[in-house]
Amino acid sequence: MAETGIALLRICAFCPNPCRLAVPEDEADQRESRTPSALAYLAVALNDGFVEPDGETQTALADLELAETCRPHCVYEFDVPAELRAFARKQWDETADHA
Amino acid sequence: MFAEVQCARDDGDPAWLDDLKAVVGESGLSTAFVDRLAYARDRTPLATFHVRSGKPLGQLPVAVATPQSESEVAQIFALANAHGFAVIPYGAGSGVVAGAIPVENTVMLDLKRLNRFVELDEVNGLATVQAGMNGARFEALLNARGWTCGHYPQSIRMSTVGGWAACRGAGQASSRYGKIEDMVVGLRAVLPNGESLEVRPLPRRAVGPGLRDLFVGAEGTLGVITEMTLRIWREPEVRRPLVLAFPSLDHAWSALREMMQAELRPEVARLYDETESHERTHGEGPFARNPVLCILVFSGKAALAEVEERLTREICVAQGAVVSDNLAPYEHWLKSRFISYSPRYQAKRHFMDTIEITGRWSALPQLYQRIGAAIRELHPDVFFGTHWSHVYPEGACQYMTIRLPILEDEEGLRLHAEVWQRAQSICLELGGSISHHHGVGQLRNPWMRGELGAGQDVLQRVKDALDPRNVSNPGKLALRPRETNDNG
Repeated sequence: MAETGIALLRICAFCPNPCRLAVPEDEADQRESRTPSALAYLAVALNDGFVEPDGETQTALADLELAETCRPHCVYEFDVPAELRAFARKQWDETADHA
Repeated sequence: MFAEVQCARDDGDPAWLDDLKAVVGESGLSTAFVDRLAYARDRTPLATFHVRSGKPLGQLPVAVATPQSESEVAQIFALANAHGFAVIPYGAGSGVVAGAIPVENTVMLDLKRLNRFVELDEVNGLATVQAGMNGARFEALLNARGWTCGHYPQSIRMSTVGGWAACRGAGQASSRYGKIEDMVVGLRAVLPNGESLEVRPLPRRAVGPGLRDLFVGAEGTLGVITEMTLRIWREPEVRRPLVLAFPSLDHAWSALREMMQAELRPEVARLYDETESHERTHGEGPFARNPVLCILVFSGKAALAEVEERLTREICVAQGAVVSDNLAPYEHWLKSRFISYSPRYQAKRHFMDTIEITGRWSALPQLYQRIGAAIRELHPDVFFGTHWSHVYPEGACQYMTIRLPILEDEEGLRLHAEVWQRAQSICLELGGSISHHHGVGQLRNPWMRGELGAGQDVLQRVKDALDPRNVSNPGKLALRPRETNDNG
């Protein structure tokens, strides 16, 4: 698939995370919110205005450790962490510009 | 809308959160909005329809707890009874019938830190594993030692072993290895009152009703499975695929029935209607004249698999099947067998869902024709495709994919509800079961009375006895939803 940007994140947001098999048992923080799909949904929700950008959402989107672990196992060969970084940059840079 | 919940965070957290934090530690409890958002859904299509419009299907949970031990799970339930909050177990959230959707005043119990492989007993062919272990990682560990669990659900990469049992799942090799209830020989669980219970792993016993089945298929309504011992198998020496082209579904149903009643046990048996067959064969080769695709795989000891394949081939040819030299449909299935997602439809605004039911062989033609007709008349552009997998001597699972086009939410949700109403009602009318392996959750509540009859009352009495405060995944399996006095 050739999607990029928010279109790619929208695909990831509703994907059931088959990449999660990459997460080792020793990973101390197994919260769902750190999975690629949950992070992608957070980005989509911000983009679509369902969620307000704030410090908590910014911190969540900066924690890409689990998403990086899962990246090699993406069925669609997406680089979701890179798209999340790009989204966060755009989101918070623009917010800062408007402030 | 989510933003309203996000902005209403200063109304004070309940005091019992401190008690919960004392149990699971600072790192084992979150009330952050981003966590509550992530656990507001599972993979139920109806939940997806809601969240893609920025709305939860149920409620956002109050908190998310990630216990590391059975003892912590027990203490959480004790607190739930004392303070009246609901506890909803959560594995990897791959369920599709709203079995893990939060209700009011819910703490989500994420079991993924209970994820250890406990023991491989190679003498007795048993594996003991904690409930929160990822299914594919569990299978990989077994494979590394020359064993297999034999349970390969499409969701294997995104589900937990405990989730397999809680939802009474079935894998793609069920015709050979059985369903999850055939594999769980022992378990540990925490009851809703916080007590622990062990069903010791033994091949069989005759000591009253099987307590194991209080938990296998109960979807967390009667407590939480924390550990299981599963029957495992030596990895097969061979796998022998067979691709068949049948002249009609009637011929294929007859062949599969005869195969199962002749005690032949393929690892995989998948029969597709003409719609789904054409997607996989494009009507080429033998499928030009024989449009119905069937994929079988025989496995195990090489000599035995060869005999089973030969005898099955004879049965199928006698029913008019042509054996295809082209294994492309099998190879396509093999490549995509663990992918359930259709981004083209599910990420966009189509209304797509799957419904699996069980029917006896004698009822399958009517189940297929009547449900298909009832759904096709709902919208001129609806897609309705069906396959039959998980075959038995008595019948099979009928797995239907329904896809409505892009619609406004109100109309899409209305038609989606009507799809379910028609499919489940016709299923009951024709003597089928409303679910083969996806479970009930809250999505199938309206049809549970028709499924169980007076058994629904028995189930409620069992629930009331084990969970009088209604704290453990309330409102699922058509059991009583939370009421005001349940909140303490």
